[in-house]
Amino acid sequence: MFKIRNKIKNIKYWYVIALAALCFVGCVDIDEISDLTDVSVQGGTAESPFTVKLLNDFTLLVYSDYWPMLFLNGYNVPGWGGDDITTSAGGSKEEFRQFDIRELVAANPRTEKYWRDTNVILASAGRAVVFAEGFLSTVPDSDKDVDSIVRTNELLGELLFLRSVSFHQTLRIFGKAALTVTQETPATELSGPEEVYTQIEQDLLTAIENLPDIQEGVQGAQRPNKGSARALLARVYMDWAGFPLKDSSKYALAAEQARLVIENKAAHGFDLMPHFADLWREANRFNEESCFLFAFDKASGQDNRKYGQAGFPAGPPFNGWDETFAEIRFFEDFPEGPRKEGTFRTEIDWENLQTQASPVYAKVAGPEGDLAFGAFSTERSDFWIRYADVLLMYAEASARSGQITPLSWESLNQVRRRAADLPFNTPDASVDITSGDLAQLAVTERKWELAGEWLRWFDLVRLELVAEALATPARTPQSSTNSDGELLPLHNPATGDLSNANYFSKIPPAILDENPGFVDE
Amino acid sequence: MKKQIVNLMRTGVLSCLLLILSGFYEVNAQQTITGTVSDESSIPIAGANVLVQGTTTGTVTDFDGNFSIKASSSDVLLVSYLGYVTQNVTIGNQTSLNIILVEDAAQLDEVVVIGYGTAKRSELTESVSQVSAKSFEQQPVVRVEQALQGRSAGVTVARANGSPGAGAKIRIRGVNSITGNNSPLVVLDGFIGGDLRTLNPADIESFQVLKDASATAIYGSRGANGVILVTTKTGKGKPKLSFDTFLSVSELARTYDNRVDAVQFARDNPNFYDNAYIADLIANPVADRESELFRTAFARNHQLSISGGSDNVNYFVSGNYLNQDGIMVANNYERFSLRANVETKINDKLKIGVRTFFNREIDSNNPDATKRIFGGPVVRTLTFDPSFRMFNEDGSYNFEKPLTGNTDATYFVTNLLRSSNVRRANRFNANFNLNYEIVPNLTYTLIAGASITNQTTESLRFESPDDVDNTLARDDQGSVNSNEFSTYQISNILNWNKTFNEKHNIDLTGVYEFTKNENRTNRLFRRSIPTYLRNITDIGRFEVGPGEEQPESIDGDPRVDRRFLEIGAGYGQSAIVSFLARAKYTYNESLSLSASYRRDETTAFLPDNRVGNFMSFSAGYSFKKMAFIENSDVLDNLRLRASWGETGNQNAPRSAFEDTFTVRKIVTPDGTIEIPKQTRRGNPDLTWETTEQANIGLDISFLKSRINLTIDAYEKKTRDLIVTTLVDQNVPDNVITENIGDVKNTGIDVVFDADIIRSDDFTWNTVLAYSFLKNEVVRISDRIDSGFVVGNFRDVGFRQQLNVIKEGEPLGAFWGTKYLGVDANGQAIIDPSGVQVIGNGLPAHTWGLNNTFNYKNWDFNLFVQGSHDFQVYNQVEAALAGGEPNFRSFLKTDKEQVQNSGLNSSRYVEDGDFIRVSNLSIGYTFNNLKGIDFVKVYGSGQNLFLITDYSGYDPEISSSQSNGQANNADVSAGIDAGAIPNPRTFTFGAKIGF
Repeated sequence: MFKIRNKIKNIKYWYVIALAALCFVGCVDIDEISDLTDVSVQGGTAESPFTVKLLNDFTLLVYSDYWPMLFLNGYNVPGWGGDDITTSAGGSKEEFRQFDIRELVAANPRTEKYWRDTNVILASAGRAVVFAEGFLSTVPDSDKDVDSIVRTNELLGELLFLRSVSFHQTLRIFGKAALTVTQETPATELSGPEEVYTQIEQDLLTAIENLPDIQEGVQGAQRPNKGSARALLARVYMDWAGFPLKDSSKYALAAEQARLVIENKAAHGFDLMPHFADLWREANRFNEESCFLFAFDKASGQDNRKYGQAGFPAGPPFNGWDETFAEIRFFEDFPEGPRKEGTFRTEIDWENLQTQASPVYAKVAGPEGDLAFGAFSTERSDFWIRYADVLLMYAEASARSGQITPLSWESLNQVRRRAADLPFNTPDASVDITSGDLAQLAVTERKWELAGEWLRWFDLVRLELVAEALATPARTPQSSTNSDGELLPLHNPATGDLSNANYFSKIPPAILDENPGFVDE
Repeated sequence: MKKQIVNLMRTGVLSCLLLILSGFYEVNAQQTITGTVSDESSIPIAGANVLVQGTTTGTVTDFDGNFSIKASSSDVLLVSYLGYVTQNVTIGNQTSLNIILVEDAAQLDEVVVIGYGTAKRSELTESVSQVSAKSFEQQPVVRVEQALQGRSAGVTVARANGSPGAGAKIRIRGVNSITGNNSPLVVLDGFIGGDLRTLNPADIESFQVLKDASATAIYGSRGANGVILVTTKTGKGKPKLSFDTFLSVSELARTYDNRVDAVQFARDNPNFYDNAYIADLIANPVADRESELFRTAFARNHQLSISGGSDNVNYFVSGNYLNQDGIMVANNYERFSLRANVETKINDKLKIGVRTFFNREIDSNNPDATKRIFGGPVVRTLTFDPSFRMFNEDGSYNFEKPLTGNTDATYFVTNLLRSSNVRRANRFNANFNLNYEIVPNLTYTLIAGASITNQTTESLRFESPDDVDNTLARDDQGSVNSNEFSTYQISNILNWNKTFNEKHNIDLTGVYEFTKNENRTNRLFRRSIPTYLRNITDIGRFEVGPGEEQPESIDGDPRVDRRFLEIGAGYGQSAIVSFLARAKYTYNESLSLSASYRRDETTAFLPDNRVGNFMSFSAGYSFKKMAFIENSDVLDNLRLRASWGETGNQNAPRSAFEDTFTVRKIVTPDGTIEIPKQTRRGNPDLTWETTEQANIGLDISFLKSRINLTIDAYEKKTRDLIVTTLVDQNVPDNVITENIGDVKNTGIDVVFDADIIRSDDFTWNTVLAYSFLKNEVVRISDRIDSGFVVGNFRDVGFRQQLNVIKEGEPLGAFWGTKYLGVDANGQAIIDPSGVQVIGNGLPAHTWGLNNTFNYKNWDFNLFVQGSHDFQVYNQVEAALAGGEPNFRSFLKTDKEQVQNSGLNSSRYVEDGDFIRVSNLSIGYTFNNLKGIDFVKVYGSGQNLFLITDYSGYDPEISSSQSNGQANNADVSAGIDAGAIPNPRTFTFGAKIGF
């Protein structure tokens, strides 16, 4: 027994020493373990060395920053104020209904989201602009090759165009904007329309100068060309000439830009599509009629959710979203013909729909049989400016600036011929108009041609037609009855102020809270 | 390095086994006097020391408490055993002795485990609160966190939700980190980084909660949130076998009342439902939504343990099986655990022990694993069309779309029942310790431990209608996630302790410690599940076959690409190397002084910032040697304590140092391409959060420790707070993580413990633990003009943020609009000053009152808890009443239909104050049965009564949000987004001791 004990006594020292030694030898080189430098994805930053490839990447990233703003209804929410669009009268669509009934609420989540998404777009574009300008201004010309300079200028033009799209939309919603041109100097106060228009004009004139006549291999102006920038500038001038600044000298400038687009349509690859109804087919999401469009891709999750179900009523058989409907009176007044058939889903017995008897836009829900049943995720493009719009802007602007030319009437008539599904380049006395108040005729033509595209409201604003268009009984149904013979009611009558004091949305309170310098008077 | 550790482990385990085996040697002595040592209840004590006074002759009792020793009649035997009062027995002419040892309660309580050592409670200068097994072993506790709840002042425990596998949120003295983790450090038998959820409560001997900085500073960069030291049981004496089993029944404790029923709903919506439909609803009533989501749930728990020991070997072996159904349908939690703790004393100088623990969890359909962006299960179920029938007449699921609300959503309960989410985790902990007295007073302790967890989560989630609907198929998805986490730790502790002149005691400790963590992950994710995968067991067929390369077409429509497959793997490692030193000086058991220093070098930061130095100082003075106490019959002790120290928090996001990019998919004329976009600006200067804490404390005991009172007051300031904010405050684009901001926690902790009645037949013990806490964000980034950062917990419509980090407000105050009423048009009137702070989810006052009564063989426990002065953001109510497009709303009969109130409205902020009867139990013990020591039978109820004005299920629940972003639950306390509530539970059980 004692022997064993002694043995243990001896052994134990060995173990203790061995163990202790092992532990202390286990001293670690901590730097060997740290893996903080492992980063899975590498990319370029504004501090990276300039390459045209990187500038192109930054430019494309601006498009991806547009997607969150575009894929749901939101940036277009003022469009529900128009006499062409309405929404569910009950239920949960109050964010849209506020515009429909003109009871604007500052804390509308859709406008707040718009504001935040816009900040991302502006920051992203601003960084890329600084990146491009840095190369153009600081690198000596001797160190640049001609191709790089040309390409950089083109991309700079594209960036200024994309930024202008954003500034202009903000102005259309709020009547003011935060003019953040670089992220280093964010806007500390809000700018009024004059300042914003001036900035957009300057940016777009540079874009026109820099952009190519046509982007090689680009279908449907998915990336802007010179003509896209001119079309946008024409639209900006139209607004500038109207409410609130009413600077009518801008009509001539609008007419000039629109005319240049029309005269160079072949160079830009623009023209009307032969058949109006084809425009809204998903397969035609890239087409020659779009002077600029935002594209979507379902397979990569970059889908468009403003169409399909959003345009259907909630009840069976459609089980839609109850979001975007046509107004009954607007439908009643709409001139019969192929354009009406292409604009609305006339085959639907909408007068007897269960949840809300409102006409369904083919432009929104999709032409019959086009989108899969029940689809809300689509690949439909957002046609930002259609060539038809440019034609009508030219007609109206040339008339308002006293410069009516044969091209002015031809522009109006091309749209009218196509509306009747006639060859739009061939004069046709059955539809052509060659006399009358061209400006008024153009505005009316716009009402039908651009119906349901969330653009009518902005025409009502710039021309101060809101009260006229929305006050009872302008929207009251006249003839539409359900199967019981009852005259259908007006959904969402305007109860709010219809004066020009209530045209623009208030800046969301959360945005004001976060920006002490912003004042929304 | 890893190899070295593996070698070390191997050597350690081997040597340990050898030593254990060699420890079983016998002790024999010449036999002249025999005797038995037993305790007061006649249970023999094995391993008691019997020594002839003034000699080295001695022996220990055997398993039956018997001993024999050679001694003369004039000798005095000293009989001692740890935890009992030592007895002197004069032999005289006796040859057979019957010695009964009396338990020395005071002595047991005296030794308190502190970091890297022990201390006498009477000499503690730190704020440490102890929860021993005694205080919870009478209750059917299945989760270790429950044992801590309400039993320790300054410690708050909140369940994430009421489902059995849910995580618990434990906070010690408030929260002080916005970005980092606020969970306390758990140290399990000296091994840093335990997981309380997985432990078997029956294995726990005690918890020590280290609260002030002088106690936690010894854990340096991991000590800022407080430390919980868990000590598991070791055996002693004669082998004891105990068996414990219980069965429990749980049910939903409260209901959401005043909801619109099916018939009413149909009548309210004549656009959708005609009279025939309503007539059918009346004739064939539809089940209530709540009754479809919840059920009566059963649980069973079996526990078996064997323990015992002699002078040289102690052991404790236990096994536990728990099978618990959740009150949410389809939710179940199963846990197996096995523990073996063995300690052996090789000789007077060397002790060796091994503690191993194996645990397996199977967590099925945890509510947190469901998609919760638009609210949790409760919101998603209760806001569904009340007239909807879950089943068709033929018993199949009804996939008709709801007519209102989110018309694309399928019914949550249907989805829950046909989906599966199962998490399986296997954990193995092994902890080897060695204690060697090098020379008298100088001891070396080695702790070498490893913990390995393998976890696999398999999930099949179905959310689309089963009819062919191309565009919705993307909502079905399946995934398999596997993780392995491993941790190794080696601590070398040198301790020198000596008393000079019987009055001066010096205790010096030095530690060198190394910890390394590794984690590996594998992930497979498949969106759009082919029809042949419908059950979780089909997961084995979860593969892409050679024929599936092409996009799947549906009904011949090739435009829809339903397939989407992602795979991923990850690896990460981290390490900390630490040195620490502590010095304690005690004079005459009255004055105690202590100082500590720890140096941590961690891989959590870049090399320039990775070394942290943490110091603490503390002092205590006990008046017990003074005449006024020594001569008092009433007062036993009065002690004052003060401490100051610094600790760190190293929980920086690992990606914070480098520019980070995510791949963006961009639709271009050349097709959809991928381009990395910067989402984070790297900050190489990021460093520790440092928490500075000052504490003063007072301990008083009266009437031979029958009444004890401890009061602590503290102030905790955290600076260099790690905050992730937007680089540009207006642009939700690039983020940066910086050391900006300060948070302050001020509080008072009180523990009152009294044996109110102590007689032979009847005892009544009461323990009151009370805490007051005030939390305030003192400063936030200078870069942020507005002075606040909006949190990322969004309302159940996933729009507005509900929480804010704002100067002068508590961390995570509620953020929203102030509701002033309703105008004539039914529109909400909202305070025009905009979004503002509208509440706070952190209770100012929390308390727990635990009463234990014993009358003869009866025992009775009543445990009551309360929290006061806080609010709950009731997002369930908001969803039901608020008019949110993603839900069917206006479903409350007691709430006016108000347009535009928004979900982030003070209309849905309610007082959360509550008092809860957490446990009520009654038991009866049968003693002295044949061959059985005792049998105790008991019945109890948990969460029996809840007194509160809160209209939701449970004001104590905080929800978490699954939105793909890192979310810190501490900045969203008190937000109820439809978490599963704590159930009401009735338990019946028996404990048997052999």
